[in-house]
Amino acid sequence: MTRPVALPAARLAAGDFVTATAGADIVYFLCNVGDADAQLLLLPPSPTSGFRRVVVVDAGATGKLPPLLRDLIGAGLVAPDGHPDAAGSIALVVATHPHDDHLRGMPEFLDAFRGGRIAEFWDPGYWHTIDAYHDTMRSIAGQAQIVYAQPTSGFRRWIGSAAISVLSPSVQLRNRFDTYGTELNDSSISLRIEAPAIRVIRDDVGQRMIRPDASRLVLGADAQTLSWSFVLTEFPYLAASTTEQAKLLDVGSGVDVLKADLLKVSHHGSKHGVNLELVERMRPGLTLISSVPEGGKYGFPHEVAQALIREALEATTSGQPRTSDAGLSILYTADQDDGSPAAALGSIGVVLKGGVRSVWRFGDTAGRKINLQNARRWLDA
Amino acid sequence: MIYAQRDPEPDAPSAPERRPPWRPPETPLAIDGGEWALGDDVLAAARYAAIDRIDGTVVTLAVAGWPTVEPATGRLDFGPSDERRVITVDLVRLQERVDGDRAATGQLVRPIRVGDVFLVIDLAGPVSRWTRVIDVTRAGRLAAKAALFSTVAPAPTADAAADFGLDPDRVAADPKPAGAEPPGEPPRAGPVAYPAV
Repeated sequence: MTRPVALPAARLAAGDFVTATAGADIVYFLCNVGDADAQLLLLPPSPTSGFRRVVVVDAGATGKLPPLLRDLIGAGLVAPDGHPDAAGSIALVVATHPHDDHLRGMPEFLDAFRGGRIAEFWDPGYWHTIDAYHDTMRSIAGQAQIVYAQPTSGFRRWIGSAAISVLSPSVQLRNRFDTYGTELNDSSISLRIEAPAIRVIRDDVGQRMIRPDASRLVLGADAQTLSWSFVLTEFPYLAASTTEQAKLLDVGSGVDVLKADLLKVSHHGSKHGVNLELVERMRPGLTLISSVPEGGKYGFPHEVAQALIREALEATTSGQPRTSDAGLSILYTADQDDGSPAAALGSIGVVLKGGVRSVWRFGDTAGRKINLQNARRWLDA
Repeated sequence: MIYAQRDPEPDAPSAPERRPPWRPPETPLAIDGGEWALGDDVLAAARYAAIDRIDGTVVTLAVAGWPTVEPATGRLDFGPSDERRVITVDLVRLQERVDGDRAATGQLVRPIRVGDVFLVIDLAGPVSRWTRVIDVTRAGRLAAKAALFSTVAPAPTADAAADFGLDPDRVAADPKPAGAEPPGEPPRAGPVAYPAV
């Protein structure tokens, strides 16, 4: 691995994170859980109550997500206990795949918010023999209101004004699970989340579609080369058509359904987790990697993955100097500042509005909870 | 909520001391010519080790206390979280160790793979020092499948047992929520989300 370069502390400024979320399309947290994954999203606020609904994607460690969500409830971003919007306020929990580093904290999270807060749970349907898998199933079984589902590629779900698309696993991969024909990482549910989605307003002639400037995230779980190969073919780039017929029928406007403002790199930057074409298709404005400073047990992120991400974001010819990771907006949960001693920058919070983002760091280490009061904003250069 | 996908399982666990240890079906629990049987006391001190992942030559094992069976649900209970941990071991050394123990008990010698489950006696130190490594993968996989399918669909009640070709005496006498059948064997023929291939 190439250890992340220390980031200048001068580019971090204290601020009021909760206030900064006002009006945001999506608020995203990539939690610092070391060699694991834990993510939380706040969806657009309810037009009536103003409270946001929550999506959790993986809980690879205990002690991180429950206190974060309680603090978000306490801050008034999510409906408090007893409010009519509290029921189902955790709209979706996704266990992308049942590896321990994505599931270890899941039973704790599911049990911490019993009482009707959790509406829906997805996993890929890959039964795994580890204890955390059994515990997760028990937690779901005890909460009858949770709808359980095993989505595959192409499935779309709208929650409020957010649209969630399942990019992987392909159903072709799911049908191999029982014979171990699919490597467990390739069973991962990877998601593209867009908000606000296409909306319809009423006017004098009926209904009219509007396409607001949206924020789009791709959360790559631990999907690897095989899984992404299906994604690239099942979600093709649709080139724009300039024919008169296309203009007349309002078709062929050209869209890349993999385009993302934010990419959570799959598999902690494993060399099998991304490929050049994939990142070029996504063209993320912000690329985030969940990792540990010294590479952890598996040496992630792998320098091959780091190099191809950089190349996808900034194509270079031989000898051309490379922009720094921070300059390319590649950030790691393992980031540290350039102080002496260096301080962990920890979990990453991103506030997205119309594809424009502000990035925040919480300074937590892997074993400590996120303190929203410690938020510092990462200032653009 | 437009409908309830299933009935909730009881979530009040019985006292742990009253739960029987899980005895995986089709597993050689009396070994070394019968001189060394796996009694409840041995199982209580044993460890459940499942291969979570294999990365190159590194095998990651998720280790927990040997599970007991919850009478109310039939689910496996792996005990307190402070006894859970993840360890990494060398692939070749684990393979050698497992091969030896599989051969000693007449089990199929095969490459280890993600999802394999072992009952380990004295899991401490290097793999070579573990007293016994017993392959319980078949039962472990079936228990994991049962954990899933008992979550997503209700178990048949005693009244409906005959419809599934089950012995009514093995199904909970009173209508109980999903998962009343102890894990270890999958549901008999019936609708499943997708068949084994």
